[in-house]
Amino acid sequence: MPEPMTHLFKISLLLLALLTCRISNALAQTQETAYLQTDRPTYVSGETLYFKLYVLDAYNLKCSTLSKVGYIELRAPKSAPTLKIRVSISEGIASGSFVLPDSLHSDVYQLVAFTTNMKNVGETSFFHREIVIANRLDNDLNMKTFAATDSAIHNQTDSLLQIQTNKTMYAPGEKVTLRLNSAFSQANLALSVFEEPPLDYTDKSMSRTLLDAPKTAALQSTHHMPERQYKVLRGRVLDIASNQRIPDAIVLLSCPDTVANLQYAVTDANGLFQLQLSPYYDGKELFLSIKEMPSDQNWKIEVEDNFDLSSSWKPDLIAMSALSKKYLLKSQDIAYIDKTYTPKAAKTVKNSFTPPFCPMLYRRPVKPVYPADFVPLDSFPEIAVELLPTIKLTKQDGAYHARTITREQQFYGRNDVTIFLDGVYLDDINKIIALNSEKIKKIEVIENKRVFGNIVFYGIVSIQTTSNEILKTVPGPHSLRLRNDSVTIGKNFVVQLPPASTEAKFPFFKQLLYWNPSAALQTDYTFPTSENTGDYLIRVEGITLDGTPLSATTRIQVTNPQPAMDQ
Amino acid sequence: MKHLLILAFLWLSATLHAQTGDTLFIPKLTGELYVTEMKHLGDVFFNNNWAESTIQLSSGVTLHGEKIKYHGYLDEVIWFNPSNFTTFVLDKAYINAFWTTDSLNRPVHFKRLLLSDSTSTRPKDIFVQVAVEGRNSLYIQRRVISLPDEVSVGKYGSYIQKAYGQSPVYYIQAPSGELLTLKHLGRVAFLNLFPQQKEELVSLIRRKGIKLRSETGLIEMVKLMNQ
Repeated sequence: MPEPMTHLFKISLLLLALLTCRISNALAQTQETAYLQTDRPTYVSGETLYFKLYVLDAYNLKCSTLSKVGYIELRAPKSAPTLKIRVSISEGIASGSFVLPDSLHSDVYQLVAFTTNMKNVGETSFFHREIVIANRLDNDLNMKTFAATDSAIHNQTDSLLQIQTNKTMYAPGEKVTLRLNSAFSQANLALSVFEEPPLDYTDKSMSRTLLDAPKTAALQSTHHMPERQYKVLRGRVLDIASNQRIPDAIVLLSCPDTVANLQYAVTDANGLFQLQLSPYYDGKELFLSIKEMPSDQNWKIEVEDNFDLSSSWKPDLIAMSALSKKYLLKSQDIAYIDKTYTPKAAKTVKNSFTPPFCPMLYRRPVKPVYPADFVPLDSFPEIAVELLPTIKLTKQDGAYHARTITREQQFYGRNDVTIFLDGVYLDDINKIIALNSEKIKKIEVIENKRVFGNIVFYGIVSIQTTSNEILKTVPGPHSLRLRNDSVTIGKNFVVQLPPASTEAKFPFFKQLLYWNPSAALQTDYTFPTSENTGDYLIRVEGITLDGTPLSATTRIQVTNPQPAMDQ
Repeated sequence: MKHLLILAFLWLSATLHAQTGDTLFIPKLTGELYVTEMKHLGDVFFNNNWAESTIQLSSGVTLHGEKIKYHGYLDEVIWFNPSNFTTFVLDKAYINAFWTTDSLNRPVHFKRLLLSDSTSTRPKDIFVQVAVEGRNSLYIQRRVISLPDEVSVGKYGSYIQKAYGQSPVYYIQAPSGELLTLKHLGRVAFLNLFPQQKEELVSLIRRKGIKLRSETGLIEMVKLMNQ
């Protein structure tokens, strides 16, 4: 090849490499922004908080298709989060509810919403919203509230969305009909109708929050990959003594189940690993362990907490006004009435249930051994001798080893078999030695060499116990046990109707009249008012398909009708 | 020096690309060690090359570029694991379908079919080649059977060799979902499967001049039945 051609070829290669790198980085680093809409700004502990989370592309404000997991935290000033919830995002939207614990003290709280992708920009990019929570039994309410830093929400209506109501004044129990009008044909909206608290609360409307926010910000790291499918478990393997990061370590993940299950990841050059979780792991205990750690080494696993926030929250607070206190005392009374008198809605039963996909270690039929079918045996070594002819247990320096007869070798293999107890990879066989016929329900033995991805097992023994013995074991120093939270869905808001004249009379007081996280344009919404008189705020927020944020508020009044004057 | 720099840069970009993609979360294939059989007569594999194939798992995930062969005698998929240069019998229940190539490098599609057998209480699952799919579908089980051992004479005397032979089974899935089995190709055997449409099918066979003694003729016939 002539010299100029060689240079050209080299330059082309370099450009191609650069382009590949840039494109892949750009794809991975699409920035997101979040907005959390709640049904109202004040609550009483024990009440349900309804929410809708929008995760948008920070640049064009269209619903993000990148992250599938959202994180919401509730925290009081200068303290650790009191509530952490994980939500499932579909096409940039997640809605649901959660119950505020009864034990929450009266205070100003902050809701923080984010995705792992947003962590790359830093915590300043997270969404923050302040709410007031009054403890149900706190009648003193000696709390402070936040200083007004912004105009009240009712002044933040934009001209792109209009709320049309059939009246402005309603009698208790009267039906309210409203319609949302806009020049846009379609939008993803949430609608709430609540008694307006006398607080100059600081939350800006969705339009103002999103339009005021910077389009993009400098990346602080690229460490956090967006959770495109489901939650990703990240962590690192470190040397216990030197804290040095260990590359190429195999980290195994399994959880208690009736079948042996496994997932693994290999640590990269920085000792980091990532494991893709699925709905299968929701609400379960996760067991992490290192496979084949060299005997002269001492490693440990550390897992990142996606909820971890580095900065605490210190708001500017002022003394609460008498009017605000009166409103919250009324809220407490209404919450008490609601808890006491509201008939409980019947639970809806799901007709079909599709179990989540289990990452089974093997999917072939294995003839099980049930120790209960034989004479009682006192320990696992006895069971192995009497009932498992292809397993040979040996003792060396006080520690047990189990080996199998393998088909290809026709003698006891030199490698130890891998033990799974109640579906979980067991880091030490000595933990099952004491298990007897009473405790073991079923044993499955696979003698032959098996592969799981790139990991080879020289035989597998899967033991299922009668009472989940795995939960009673203590993880070894190079293992880790942690609880995986479930995705929060919560209950849907149900429009409650006032008691009919023929029914037994019960008090019907509500501060939240309506909440609909899936409201649409050009649609009529109807709900009744309650016996709680006052000024109510109708608040609608959302986003159009082209990324235009919409916000609108209007007021209605619920008053007792004037008694007719005697002539 | 220049070459080294270029290589280093290419390696760096490839590493970065791998780190940022979703390649970390590819599901894992599971299976048991496959011990290669001793020398025998006849082919046990449908395809003799390690064809780069696509596998659809029962989880719904699809894997590309896996080197596999279909073993007709075991009715199993054999996977060549490049990380340890070892072959494994993949867990059948984990595979829904796979797309590979035959010995002539033509693309073929196999899927796992549940087959109700009157002799067993539970349906058994087999891998079948999808020949036609429609109102009537034609699936071919590329079955390999064991033949009587053959005595060969070598340099040091005679020795016994195991022998295998092709014995495909054809399954026609009728619009009702019923699976009709055809073990030997031929006009009479085919027409016996459809006693109520016999006359109609005979006229179709005559009109189109289809030879049902061959596999291509059967495929053509099922395609015509779908028209």
